[in-house]
Amino acid sequence: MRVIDGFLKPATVPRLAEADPLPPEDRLVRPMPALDDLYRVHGPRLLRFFARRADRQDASDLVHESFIRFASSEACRDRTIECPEAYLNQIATNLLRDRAKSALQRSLANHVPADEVPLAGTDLVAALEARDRLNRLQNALMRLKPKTRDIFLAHRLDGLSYKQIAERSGLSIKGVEWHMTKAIDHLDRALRR
Amino acid sequence: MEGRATASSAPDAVREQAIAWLARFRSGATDVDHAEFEDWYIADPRHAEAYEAILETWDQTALAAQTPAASHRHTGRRHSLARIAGIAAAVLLLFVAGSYALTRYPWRGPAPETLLASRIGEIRTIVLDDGSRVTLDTDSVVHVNFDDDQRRLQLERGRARFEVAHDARRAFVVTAGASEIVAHGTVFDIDLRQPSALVSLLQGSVEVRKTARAGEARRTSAVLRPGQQLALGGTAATAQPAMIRSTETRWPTGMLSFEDTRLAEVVASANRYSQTRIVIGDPAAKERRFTGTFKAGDPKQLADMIGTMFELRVERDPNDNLVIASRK
Repeated sequence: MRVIDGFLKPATVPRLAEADPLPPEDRLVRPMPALDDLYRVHGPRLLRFFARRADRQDASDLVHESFIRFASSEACRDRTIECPEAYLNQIATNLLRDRAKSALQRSLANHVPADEVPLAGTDLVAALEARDRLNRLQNALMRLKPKTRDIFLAHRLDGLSYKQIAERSGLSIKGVEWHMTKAIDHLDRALRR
Repeated sequence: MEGRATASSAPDAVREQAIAWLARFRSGATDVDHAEFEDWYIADPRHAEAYEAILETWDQTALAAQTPAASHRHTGRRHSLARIAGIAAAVLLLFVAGSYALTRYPWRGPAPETLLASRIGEIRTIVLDDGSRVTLDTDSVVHVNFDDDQRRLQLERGRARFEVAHDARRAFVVTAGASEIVAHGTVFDIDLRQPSALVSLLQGSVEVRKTARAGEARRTSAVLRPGQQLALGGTAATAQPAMIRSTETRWPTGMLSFEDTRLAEVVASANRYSQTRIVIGDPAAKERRFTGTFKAGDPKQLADMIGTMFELRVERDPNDNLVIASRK
C-alpha cells in the first residue's frame, strides 16, 4: 500500500494554479506505472481470492477483468480513489456475483429448445457423440420411475409449471419439486458418465 | 476477502445442493432468495463448478425431445398427466410402447453396427459390450458388429489397439484391408497407415488370414506369437513375422517414441496428431536419425526439439505450418 499512497496523494490534491511551478517531469508520466504498481501489489492477492472461488484457469482472467474495470472506472480516471484496495475488492466480488447472477438467469430461463442435434454431418466424431448422448438420455429416461419421468418431461418439454403439474396430478408443488430433483439427479449421473 | 471454510464441500453434498437449487428455481417460487444463492455460488469454486455442471446437464436434457421416450409418450398433455394421476394400465402401455420404440431407433438397443471414431490428435479408448477395449489412435475409424456367433470388427482407417475379452463361444475377428485377424483373449495393434498394414501382437495369440474371395478355395494364414508383427499388404503367404520394437507399442499413452529413425518418418508420424504440420524444408535433414520420446499433438514442441537437436531453423509459414530448414 505504501507505493499506492505515494502515488495517489499527489494525484488527489487540487489542480495546479497558473503560478505554481511545474511538477517534475517524472510525476507527469506516473499514472501508467502506478497501475502497474497496483497490479504488482494486488494482483497476487486477487489471484488467491479468485482461486478460492473460481476455476483455476478462470482466476487469472478474472484478475485481468478486475483491473480493466478498475482502470476504466470513472473514479480511477478522476484519480479520486482513496483506497484502491477496497475498491478492487468490491470489483472482484461484483465480478463473481455477476457470474452467479448469470447462472441464476440461465436456471430460470423458460425456453424449450427445439433444435435438432446433428446426428450426421461432416464431423463423424461429433455425430457419434451426439448419438451417444441421445442414447444415454433415452436409457436414463426409461430408467426413471414413470411418474418421475412424466413430470420431468411435462415440465422440461411441454413447459408446464410445477403449479400446473401439481394441479393436474394431485401432488403438492413440493412433491413436484421432489420428482424434479430425483429426475435431474438421475439424468445428470447418466449424462456425466 | 478471506475465504470462508465451507461446511459441506464433499463432492456429493455440493452436487446435491446444486440440484436442489435448480429444482427450486424451476418451481417458479417467488420466495427463493437470490442473494442467498449468489452467496452460496461464490463461496467456493466447487459450488460454482458443481452448479455449472448441473446447468449443462439441464441444457442437454432439452435433447429429450428427440428421444423415443418423449416422442412416444401418449400425445397431449391431458393424457400424460392422466397417467401421472396413476392409471397403471396406461403406464404399462407407455412402457411397452417405449421399449418397442427403442429397438426401432438406429441409435438404440442391439445396433446392427456401431461406429467408433477419433479426431485428429485424439487417442480414445472405448469399452465394448463384451468388455473388450478398443483404443483408437489419432484419426481412426472402427466398425463394430457383434452378434451371437461372432464379434466382428473392421478397422477402416488409422490404427487401433484391441484388448480382447475372452469369450470361447464368440470369436473376435478384425478385418483390415484384405486380411482377417482372429483372436481369443489377446492384445494386438493393427496399423493401416504404414505402406503395408501391420499387425502387432502384444499378448496371447492371433491368427492372420486372407479373407476368402469368391472362387478361392484356400485361405492362407499365419499364427503370430507375442512380440511379433506381420505386414498384411501384398502376399501375406510370403510375409515373415518380424519382432516388434518396444517403441512401437507405446502410442496409447499419447507419447511417441522413436529409436534411430529417419527424421522424415518421425515427422510423418507426429503430423497425424495435429492440424499444424511440420514440414522439413531441407532434403538432407529428412535423412537425419532421431532417437527420443515426445508428446503427440504438440508440433511446436517437437519442431523446437528437432531444431535444437540438429541445429536447424524453425519458422511458421503462411499456412501456419512449421517449416524446419538449415540455418544459413
